[in-house]
Amino acid sequence: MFKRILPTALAIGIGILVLIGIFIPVSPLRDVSLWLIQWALIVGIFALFLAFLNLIRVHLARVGRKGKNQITSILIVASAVASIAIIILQYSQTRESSFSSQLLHNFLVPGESALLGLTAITLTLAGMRALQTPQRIGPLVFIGIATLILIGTVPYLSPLGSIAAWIQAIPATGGMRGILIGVALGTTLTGLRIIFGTTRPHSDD
Amino acid sequence: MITISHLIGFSIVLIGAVALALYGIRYRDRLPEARQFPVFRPLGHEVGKAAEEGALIHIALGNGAVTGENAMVSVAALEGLTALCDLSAAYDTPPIITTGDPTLYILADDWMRRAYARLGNAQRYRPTLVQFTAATPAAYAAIAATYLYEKGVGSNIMLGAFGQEVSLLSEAANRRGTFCAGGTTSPESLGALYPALNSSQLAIGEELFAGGAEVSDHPTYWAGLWSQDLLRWIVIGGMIIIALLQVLGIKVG
Repeated sequence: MFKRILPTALAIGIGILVLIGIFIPVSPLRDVSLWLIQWALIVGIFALFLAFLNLIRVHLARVGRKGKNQITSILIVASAVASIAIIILQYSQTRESSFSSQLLHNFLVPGESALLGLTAITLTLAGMRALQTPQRIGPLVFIGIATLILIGTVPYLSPLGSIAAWIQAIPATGGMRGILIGVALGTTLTGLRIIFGTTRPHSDD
Repeated sequence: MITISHLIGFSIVLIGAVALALYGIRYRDRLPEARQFPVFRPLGHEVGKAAEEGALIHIALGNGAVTGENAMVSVAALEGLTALCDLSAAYDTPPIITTGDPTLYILADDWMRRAYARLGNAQRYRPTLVQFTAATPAAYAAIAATYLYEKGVGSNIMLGAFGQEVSLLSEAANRRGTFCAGGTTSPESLGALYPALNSSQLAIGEELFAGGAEVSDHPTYWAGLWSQDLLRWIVIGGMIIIALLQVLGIKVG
């Protein structure tokens, strides 16, 4: 019972309550729905703790194996432990003044930005590689349009600029909305399957 | 206050629920001819290859939190990997699964553990093969990409919620000549994966939700897909009607 029926009954009951609270946003339905969502977020924090332990465990094992990525694993373990120690030691300080906040803004954010900058290069490389397979018409159109949009952003090339703006405003936006509507419907039906208990990602059935 | 948006949303969910129940009842014993989603079928074969060649499979599940808006994307990604997880457990050649979100890590770990438990072989499950890699998308993709350079990774599967940083993973796999397959839902990540993968290797947008149906052939999953198709036609019909009303000068909304 505790392994099969209880998780399914809880998932169905809570799913229906949250759904009703969203579609009928009047008290107390809305309040119950918000409470349940907050509880889910609290459970999520415990998940973060378990995931942190997993991270340490995995990388300590990799340090022990002395492989190619040993240095990476040492750095990950050291920075993870140092970060948590700093946060615990500075728990009484305000978010803005704490050293952990300084670390976030001056170290982590620039690092993330650099990585995202790197994706521009990897995207270009992927595009160049796609051009080497002439049987595929899709990537050719993709690269052609991407080039046109890039050139269209250059000042003094107004005819290309207006074509690029039209592509972005009409076909690209339409395509994106089409994909997002499809994803929203898929999300709805997957959620309904779980709420009805016909598929149960949370139990052994 | 209940608005028109609430009513439209409720109507869509209600129609979806009724359609799901009716399709589920009608086709519970036999499935009619259905369309195919070629991305998911070969994933099971990768396990056979891994067992024969001793190569590892890397599965990147992305950053879709189970407590967030991408929860169902992550669940659908795991459903698409069911056959692969079951076969991996049967051959005892488990994949390395990396996640960029703690709640998704818990779900993926449980998913893989249950694949072993279904075979009565739970004690052979190795929890360190499901890993939480980093909490931010770019760091997750960068660290997961380093795994591809480790000895023996022969397949790279990227299914779930990603951003444009997924190109770090696909590029690393391409450089090594590793088999790649993927499926994602956001336009940014699709833009990143589209030039890197061909059409039989990429699930675009809603196709990601077809994974469970394709690999399990279970009527419940197919009922979900057919309900999704029905809702799509209803939404298209609604859009056409609204456009016609606007052309006739009738204000809607």
